Amino acid sequence: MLELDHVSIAYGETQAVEDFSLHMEPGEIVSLVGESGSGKTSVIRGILGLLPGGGAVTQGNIAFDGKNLLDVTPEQWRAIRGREISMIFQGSGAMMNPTRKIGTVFAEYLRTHEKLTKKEAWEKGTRMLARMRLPSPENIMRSYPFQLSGGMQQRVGIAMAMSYEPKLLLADEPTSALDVTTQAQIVGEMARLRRDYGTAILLVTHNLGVAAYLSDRILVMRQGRMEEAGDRDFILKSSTNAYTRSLLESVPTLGGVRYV
Amino acid sequence: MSEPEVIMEALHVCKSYPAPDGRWLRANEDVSLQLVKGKTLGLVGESGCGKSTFMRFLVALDRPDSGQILYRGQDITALRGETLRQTRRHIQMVFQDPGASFNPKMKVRDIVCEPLLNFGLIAPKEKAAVCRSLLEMVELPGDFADRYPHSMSGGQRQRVAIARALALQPEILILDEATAALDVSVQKTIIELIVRLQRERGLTIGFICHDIALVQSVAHQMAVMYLGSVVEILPGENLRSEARHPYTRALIDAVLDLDTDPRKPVTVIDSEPPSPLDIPAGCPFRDRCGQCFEKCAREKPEMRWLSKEHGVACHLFSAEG
Amino acid sequence: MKKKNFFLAHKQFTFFLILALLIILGAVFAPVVTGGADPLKGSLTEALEAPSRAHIFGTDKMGRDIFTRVIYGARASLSATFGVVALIFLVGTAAGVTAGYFGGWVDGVIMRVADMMLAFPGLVLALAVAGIMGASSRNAIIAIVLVNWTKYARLSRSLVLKIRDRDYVSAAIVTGSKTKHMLFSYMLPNALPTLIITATTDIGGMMLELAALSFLGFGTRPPAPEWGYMLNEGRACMQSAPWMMIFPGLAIFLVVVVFNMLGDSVRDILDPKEA
Repeated sequence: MLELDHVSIAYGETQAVEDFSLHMEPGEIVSLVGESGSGKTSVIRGILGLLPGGGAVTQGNIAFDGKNLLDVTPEQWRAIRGREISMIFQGSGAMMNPTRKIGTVFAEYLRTHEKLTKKEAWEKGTRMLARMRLPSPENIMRSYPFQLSGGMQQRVGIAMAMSYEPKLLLADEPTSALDVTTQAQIVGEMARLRRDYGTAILLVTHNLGVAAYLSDRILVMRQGRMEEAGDRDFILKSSTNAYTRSLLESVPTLGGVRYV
Repeated sequence: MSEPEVIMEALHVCKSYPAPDGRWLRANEDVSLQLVKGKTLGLVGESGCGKSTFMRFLVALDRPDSGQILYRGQDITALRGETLRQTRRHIQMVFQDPGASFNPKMKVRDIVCEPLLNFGLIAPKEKAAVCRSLLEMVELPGDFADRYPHSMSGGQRQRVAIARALALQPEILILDEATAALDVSVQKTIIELIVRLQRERGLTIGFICHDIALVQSVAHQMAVMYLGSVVEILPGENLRSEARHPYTRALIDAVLDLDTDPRKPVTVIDSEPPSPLDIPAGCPFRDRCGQCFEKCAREKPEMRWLSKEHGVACHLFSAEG
Repeated sequence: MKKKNFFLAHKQFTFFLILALLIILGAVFAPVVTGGADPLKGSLTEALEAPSRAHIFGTDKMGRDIFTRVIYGARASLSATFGVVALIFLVGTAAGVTAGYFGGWVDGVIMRVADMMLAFPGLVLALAVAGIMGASSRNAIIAIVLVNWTKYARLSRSLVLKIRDRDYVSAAIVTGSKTKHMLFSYMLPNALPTLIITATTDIGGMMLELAALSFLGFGTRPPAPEWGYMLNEGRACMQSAPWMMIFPGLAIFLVVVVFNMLGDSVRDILDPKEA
């Protein structure tokens, strides 16, 4: 379904990603893990053509359902983004315009993707929030982003991204700005998305615990290159890669190594 | 074994801030905690729990509305002026954001030597030598003295922050989410450095952190805060098996680490935490607790000590006495 | 070497700095420039003469050489202006930094006083002060300082507040910095570049305000030469002896432009991203 073939991404002179390949089947959950500078964020933004500040895919191919994503017109993007492939970000709340109600933003989002009246879009938005099991969807639609907690904002972001039941959901550090209990909530939501809608998820995170819980497969990235790729169990338990092992060992575990 | 020496103690600390709509944000409600010489107290809680507010009282950057912060018996909240400044020598801090901890116009040498110059402990011409030994203590090469922190990595900057904090050889070091902004592998090296320095110098550490798995690996004693109150205090060892307070258990259950079984559904508290502006009467956790009963809505539970080192503030345990 | 490169690199600044220095030197060495002429002495037989070789700017209605009076007038204008700017800078910065750093009631008191001063339109208050205390160069300075210090207070206070809650400031306090150290090594250096730019740019503005007060008769008293007052004197003879207004007016214009441009260049140097 999603195919990245020897992709390289650079921001002007600086090389961010080199020779990265990935193949995803429908309904799979794959995590890209790595530390700062690993290039994982560039990969996920590159897929949807959302590379900031002069970034570009300099080599390789990105294809979705056979369609080359490096050669897409703005028209075609409108059909793909939000419908076939959606994205959620770290801190969805910060992305929303603080001076506009959630409902307004949501309705507008829906109306860019299909012909709806304002009223219809508002109703559809409310239905989406209910489908995502958010409490009091009407109230949420009428609220401003700052009136919602971080976790709630993120769940609204997911609801918006799932409006058209995309085949692939890209998630860029979706839990990083959240408390532990909220994080657990979001992770549970994302697991449910695959179960109930068959959505494939490509997750970028530096939190190995989240990746370990959700993923079928894990790709470890380091300084722009893919260090190792494999099934979740293999990476976590049987990897012989030195970097992967040192990364796993650095993660604090309840009941694990103690220093005192 | 010798009696643990409590060198810093917070007693019934309370702090509230007025909100523009007339309500009050109750940041700290009757917080009482102890720091034992040479040991680490870990303070965990989620956003809005009041741990950052409390931490500022320990280093006298702020004063509580009521309550005392005793350092070796002396209430630092009552100190002013030069006496307060002199006391600061013994209580130092490392901040969360390595990018904001330093004056952008100062080089590393000036940064780590400034505390010593503030107290007249060294002469300006001794700066170079002193700086070199401080950098060595935090495992940084001597030539970093001439660099600016913004040209260094996050981990290196935190090492400089630790060098600065330890320049005065304080008794107490407060770490405010000191590793939260770092990559996990860098975090490990910084933790190892801190633990080594603690062992070598008998440092007493207050470790504020939201990562409960990290805290339990470095803390001798842990305190869990929720909406401004301390709900449980217990040893860091065997946290998972020993924790009793429903909120602590919920935190533990919510942790996703490498040992979590992916087949088990995530245990979530489905509700939203109340705003610190609207803390419910009685137990702050009551609307979200699976085991709350009638008394919880009326009366706020007091800290009840199940053993010398384990206290819980929950009505489920007050019957046990 | 580094200094020379600096001046070569910032040509606009160097150019206007030289002009400003020439103006100042001209005022300081007025006797040299005017060839020893007396700005206060004039013979009525030579009154209201158009510019000629003997009097290149003409004479006024008392027969005094206008050129001499313009050059000597520079002394009054420049010294008063620098006095005003220095005072509002010092008083305003001290008040603002204190208010911003200490907060609480100190901040409250200082800022309420500043607000009170702002409630009055500048020139009107200056007129009132000059009217009550009498017209003189000194009182004109006091009046203008009273109104304009608030700008520096607000500016320095907001610059201090911007960094007051930053971690590195907290760190400096926790590591035992004395208050004096905090104010002079942390707060002031952060505020100074912006304040210097404002002060340099204000030279022109303050000069105009002082000239306006003198023009209205609330500043320097005659027969002392002062551009604003000379404009007033020339107003009555505007038709018959326009040179009486033209040359003092030109002088004000030129000096204000030079110092404004100097202020602009200072800003470009200290804060290039605002250019």
